[in-house]
Amino acid sequence: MSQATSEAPVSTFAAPRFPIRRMLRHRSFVIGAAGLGLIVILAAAAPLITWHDPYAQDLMNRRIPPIWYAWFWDHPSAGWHHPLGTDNLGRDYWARLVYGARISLLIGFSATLVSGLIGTFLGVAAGYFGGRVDLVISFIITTRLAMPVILVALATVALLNSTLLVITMVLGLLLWDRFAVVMRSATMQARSQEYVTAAKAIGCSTPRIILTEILPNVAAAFTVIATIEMATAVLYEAALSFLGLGVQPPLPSWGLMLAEAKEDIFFSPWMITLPGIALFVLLLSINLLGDGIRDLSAPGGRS
Amino acid sequence: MNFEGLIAGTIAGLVLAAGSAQAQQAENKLRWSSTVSITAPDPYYNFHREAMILNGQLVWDTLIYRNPQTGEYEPLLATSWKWIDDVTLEFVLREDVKFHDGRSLTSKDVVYTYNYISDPANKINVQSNVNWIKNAEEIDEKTVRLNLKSAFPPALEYVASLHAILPDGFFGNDGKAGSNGGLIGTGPYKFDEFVPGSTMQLSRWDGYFDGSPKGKPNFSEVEYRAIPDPSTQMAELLSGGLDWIWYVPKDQAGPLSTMPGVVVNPAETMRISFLSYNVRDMEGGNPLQDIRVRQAIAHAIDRDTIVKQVVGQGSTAITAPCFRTQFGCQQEVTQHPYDPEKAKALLAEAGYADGVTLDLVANSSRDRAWVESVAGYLSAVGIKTNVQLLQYAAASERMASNRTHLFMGDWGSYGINDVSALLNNFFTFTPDDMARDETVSNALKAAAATIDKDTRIENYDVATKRIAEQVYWHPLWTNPTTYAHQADLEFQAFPDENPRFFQVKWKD
Amino acid sequence: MLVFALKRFVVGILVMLAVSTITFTLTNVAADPARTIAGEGASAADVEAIREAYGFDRPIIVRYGEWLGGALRADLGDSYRQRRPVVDVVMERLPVTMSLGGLAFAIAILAAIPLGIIAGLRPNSWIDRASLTFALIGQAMPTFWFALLGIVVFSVTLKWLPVSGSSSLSHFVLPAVVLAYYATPTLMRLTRAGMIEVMQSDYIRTAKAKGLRTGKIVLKHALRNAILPLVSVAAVQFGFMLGGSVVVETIFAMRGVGYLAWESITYSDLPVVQAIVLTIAAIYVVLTLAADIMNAWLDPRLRSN
Repeated sequence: MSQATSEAPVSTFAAPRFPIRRMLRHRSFVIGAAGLGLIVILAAAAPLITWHDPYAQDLMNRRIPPIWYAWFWDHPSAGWHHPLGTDNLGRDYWARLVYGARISLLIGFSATLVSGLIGTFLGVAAGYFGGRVDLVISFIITTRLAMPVILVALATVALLNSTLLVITMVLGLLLWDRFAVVMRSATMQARSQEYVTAAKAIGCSTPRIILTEILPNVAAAFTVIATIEMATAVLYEAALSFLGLGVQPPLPSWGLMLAEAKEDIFFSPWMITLPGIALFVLLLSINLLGDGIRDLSAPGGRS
Repeated sequence: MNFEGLIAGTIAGLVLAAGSAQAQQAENKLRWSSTVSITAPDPYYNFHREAMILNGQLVWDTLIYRNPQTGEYEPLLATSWKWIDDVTLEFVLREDVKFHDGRSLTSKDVVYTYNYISDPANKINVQSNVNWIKNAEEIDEKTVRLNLKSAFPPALEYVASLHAILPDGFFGNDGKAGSNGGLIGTGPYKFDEFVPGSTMQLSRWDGYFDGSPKGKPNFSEVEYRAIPDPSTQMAELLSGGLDWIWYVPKDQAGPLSTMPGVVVNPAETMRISFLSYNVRDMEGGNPLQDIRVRQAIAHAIDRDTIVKQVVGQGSTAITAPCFRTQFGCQQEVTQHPYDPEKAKALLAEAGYADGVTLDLVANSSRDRAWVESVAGYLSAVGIKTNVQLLQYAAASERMASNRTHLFMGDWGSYGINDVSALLNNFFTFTPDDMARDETVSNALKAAAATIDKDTRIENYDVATKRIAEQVYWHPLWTNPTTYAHQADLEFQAFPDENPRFFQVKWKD
Repeated sequence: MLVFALKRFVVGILVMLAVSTITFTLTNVAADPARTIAGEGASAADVEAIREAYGFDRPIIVRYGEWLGGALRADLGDSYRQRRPVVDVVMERLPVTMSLGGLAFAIAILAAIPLGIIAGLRPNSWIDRASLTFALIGQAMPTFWFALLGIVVFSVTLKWLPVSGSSSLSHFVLPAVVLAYYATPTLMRLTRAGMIEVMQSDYIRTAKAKGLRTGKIVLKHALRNAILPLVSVAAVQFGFMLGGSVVVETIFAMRGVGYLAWESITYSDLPVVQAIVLTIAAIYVVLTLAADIMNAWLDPRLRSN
């Protein structure tokens, strides 16, 4: 069966050589890194940049619109106390957003970590050993590709409860295919290099060769796929939330906030737009970063 | 001009809803929608009101009719009825009723219907609607007797609201609806098309009998379409693609009502929301076995504020575990008003001064903000909750298998104006009974087994008072249903959540 | 060639077997089907009776064998909720999903290939940047948000398109565009990358050196080689779109398999869920099989692989 699922033609990957100067000159890389960096800092420093508790309800002050409603339309309750307004339960929207960044990032990172480990293990094993191992692993990959992710994720989450852990694990266990495919090709390529043949000749053990020769050579490919999969995991979490099976309240995740405000698209569009923009910036940054890394790790570069 | 008005105004300027509504009026077609998809056309193999009640009364008729204004029973398919004794009901049928294929209604049809639906082997979906019926027998061509297993006081309520009369042999030999002569009934509308899970097309039945309290059909066609997402439904209403929707989200009701050509109508229903406590032994101990913890929870929740701010118009906070018009609903019970200090004190007394963590399961088809606001009040006094939103079946499974401390749910009593349709479902050692209290159960069973009003009232008194005093349930509020429809539609809502489309019509 | 096709076919069968094992295990171990069938308000005794009546008390391996036997005769059991054969329930929904998927796919291809080619021919030009931006936006917007925006703009405000349903072609336009936008970026980037690679290859350089005009080169050589990898990815993307239709069909209330899947999951109608996963897997297997054979036919070197 076909294995050509990666967007990135594998032949363009090579050992990572990232001169800082080239990195800083690469526009996508810089924008992506800055965007993601900013979101990570906001998430990490959440308690420092908002004085509100993201879980504290204030039913008397629900659905206060953001500050600019006070500027442009003289809205009486909008103001600096809640600069981005409040949600359905009077919780501060800005606080929900910065704490929600933690959950969205957590889901993205952890799911990618799980899928990265599975995918890399399978891909490297298939690529390094070839033969029957490759056959079996290719079969596993094809089987996984034949299963519709969103459906299987929905069904599993529905059957097992939609806790943060379950959602992350389910996404992690479903999204490893691209890792496996790309790692497999990258490993095959690395294996045929002279230094690997040489290492084999002088009697290095297989684990040693994989650790010291193969893995460093597939790291760039890994990073690129990791960015793609992280974006995918965050998007899938949003889709699960929309279908009512995302993270459970009162946890704020951006996908959940977006899904919760879907009915507000007609009359209070700010409620859906704010988390929408946040999610958009996050995904855009991750994708730009991935593009940047791919370009920078390509032999010729694309500047 | 406030901000909502501004946005509403902008949309209103762009939407020309009035024009399309008038176009529909010319066609005289009613197009309505809800989130559930109907998978069976008959009223019995359904869980959804949309088919149980709506089809039940549009395509079919019941033996008697309960006038929603007066609450009195009126003749429908039966001209008269009487109790022969505690367990026998006799009905005399009208002479002039015809099914959609032209043949006349006789006792055979009524006997078939009751014997079919009451046979447990046929497994109709809601057994509690029929499991008190022993059988039906034909006395003559137009006289039928319904034999009950034991005295069942609200029998006429069920007969009038849920027991649509099907033609003889409707389910054939294979249990397939309409296998013997099609999906026909005696009601004011007949089936044109039924697409499982998606649409239903009904058209007027010109042969509908004169003198029915439902009146002659007002529309030439009625079309139902399942639309799972409420935002999509609102978009359809705004763009003139639908005439009537319900369960409009609370926060959209206000701005939606400012749209030209749209009327929004929040109405109270008989459905009550409650918090139910598990007092059984649980693995690792169960803090709720201490009544002080249950009381603390009750005192921690500010129902009035939640009703006013979150649940919205059409809802009332309640303090008794039933709907006020239901027979046997005793209002004078132990009260647990909002008092967070008392709640904290009670928790400390019970040894949970540092807080406690409980599992809370809630029905996922209700507004998420409801359970979140309850959880918010609980966390304010130090009770942390692990909230799980589940479909009713899954939530029920949690209760049955003793895997949750708290259940926040609601029950609509199928529109039956009698406490037995509510409390007997939850407190008579049923799977959903997490209290398992002999006193309550015995009283409820005794009340349901006689038609003597005083005995019933006495027993319901015992049951409701004990439920409140022991804090097995914390009553929360009545659920509102918010309807929205084109402004030139005449529609009236009733607390039994039964939109009576046979009464609806376009304004002149 | 025949041996190659046969081998691929056997692999396809094995994949279906593996998918069926996984879904059956998942839906029968993680949930209690008896409890689900019994429905609201059923007593423990009722549940037990159902468990025996349906044979859920037997070992899972026996039940799987039985189910598989049925599946081979196109009998996937009855839907718990609809009380009719699962095969009927799913099959009557398939046309809507396939039309939606097909239309979305056509739109995606029609947008992705020309954009990818132009972008690939002129890397770093404004049109390249515009297409990349277009792709990036597509990758960063949750489908349902995009769909709701589409409804607000095109159906409610401009009234060009109907809001929901699946009864006419105009009902398919908005959902198909939404779904297509979800798949376009991948296809576009791939075409672009393939194009860049091909344009740098020796034979194109030779052709250019010979004085052939660029337009001709693109049509004759580059395009064919750039699109080759697309064939196999296209199959995968089509599978993705069938999955993505869950969200789109739910928003637009389209009577397709995706909406059915979501509904069946929320009502724990597990035989239907199983059947849908299996159906989508089968479509994927058939498509990849076709793509593999087509690729092998286009490029004989692959056959020895």
